Amino acid sequence: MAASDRPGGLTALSVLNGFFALAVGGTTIQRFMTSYDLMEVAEGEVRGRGWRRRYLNSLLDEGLTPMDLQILALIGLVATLLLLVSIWGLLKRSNLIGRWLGTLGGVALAAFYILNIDWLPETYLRGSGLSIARQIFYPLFLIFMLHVIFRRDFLQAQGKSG
Amino acid sequence: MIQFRHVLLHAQKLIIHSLRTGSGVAFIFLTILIGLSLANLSITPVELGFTTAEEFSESASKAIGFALATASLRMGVEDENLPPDTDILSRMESGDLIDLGMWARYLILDNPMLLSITVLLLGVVLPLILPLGSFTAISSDVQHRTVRYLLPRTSRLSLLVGRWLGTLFLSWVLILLLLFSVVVYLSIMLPPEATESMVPWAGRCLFSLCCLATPYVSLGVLCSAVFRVPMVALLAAVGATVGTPLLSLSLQEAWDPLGNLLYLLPWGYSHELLSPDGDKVFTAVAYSLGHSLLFMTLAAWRFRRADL
Repeated sequence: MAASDRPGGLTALSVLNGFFALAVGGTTIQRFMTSYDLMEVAEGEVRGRGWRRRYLNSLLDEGLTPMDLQILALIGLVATLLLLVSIWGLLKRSNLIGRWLGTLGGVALAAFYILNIDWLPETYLRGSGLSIARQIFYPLFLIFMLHVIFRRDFLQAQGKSG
Repeated sequence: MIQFRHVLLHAQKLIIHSLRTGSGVAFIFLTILIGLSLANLSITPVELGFTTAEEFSESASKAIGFALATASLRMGVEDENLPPDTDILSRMESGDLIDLGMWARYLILDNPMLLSITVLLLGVVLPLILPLGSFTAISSDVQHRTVRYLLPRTSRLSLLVGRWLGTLFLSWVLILLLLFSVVVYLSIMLPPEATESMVPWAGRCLFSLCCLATPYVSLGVLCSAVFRVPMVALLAAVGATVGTPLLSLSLQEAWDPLGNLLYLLPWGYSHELLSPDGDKVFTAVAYSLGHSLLFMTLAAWRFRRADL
């Protein structure tokens, strides 16, 4: 069997894409659940333990709406799906599915984290600042790698298959 | 014979190759991830309000004093006038370790505390991550025998020095990126009056970490030149880096002079790169360069004699 001529960095990037897809997927689920909890609190349906209700009320007081969280969750969902699909594209060195869907996934991931910082109140984000910085680093790194370091690999693979 | 143009070419090729390989991507990603996590670790207690800045600075200066006493092999009581069971905190307040107490206060009170703590943590963790960037510098080509195609066109010494330079440059860029992210974040989080001294102190920390990185990168290149299998080179570099302080500190319990084994690697003096005393900083920089030169000389000697 011929050895694969795919650079090891692309395999590593696909693993990292999977890791970040799972991370952002988890946050997306959390955003959806918090948005439904906020809706229930806003509608006056008392539910859950006291501290949780007080916390949700404080979020509402700070101007956070369930719609904000749902938009964020939707962007997170798009980022998760794009990153997951791009794993296959990276492994196959497909220019469209690997490079461009990966790029869109990176943009969606960056948008997700930047909008989180911009929209969510400080009490919601407190203590997660540098982890957000860490998560913003990855999309920039991914886009740089796909368009500068591995650009030729995708184009060559496209030329061979075309 | 070293050809400067060849050295630069090898350095450039190594950087591009590092970015294309799995180990290179892992090195870049892990360095940034672990570095930012360490910064998060030092910032979170204050940010989440678990402790006040005053309480945190007090406990941090005690912890740093304790770490400095361990690193400088001064845990045992040196002053004959003090009872042997005197605790280390009182020794730092008014005993034989008063200089370490002052040093810890310099790092915590005179300079941005959170940045100092982050850099001290990086000083412990970076030596363990840096071999990831250098373990394939030579051994990968030796293992696959591709080095045979390079050597008719260049000298072994140019190849070795070029690869070392490329690895070192990549490590320095990563350290710069890491410190830049931490400083930007701290500048946003802290009030403006608390961040006035941030940039000059960050410059000093960058210089210290770059000096610290140089001998460890050289050690990685030495292991890469000695061992033909990259994974063995990685294990040797990480093993030596972890094993030296463990061995010396445990042997010191049996016989004090054996603690000096710590100086086999920069562990024994690397903390002095952040000393308030300029002479100590100068000495630590000179030791770092000396260690790097020693490791690279050994690597060159081994690589020149190797049957490739």
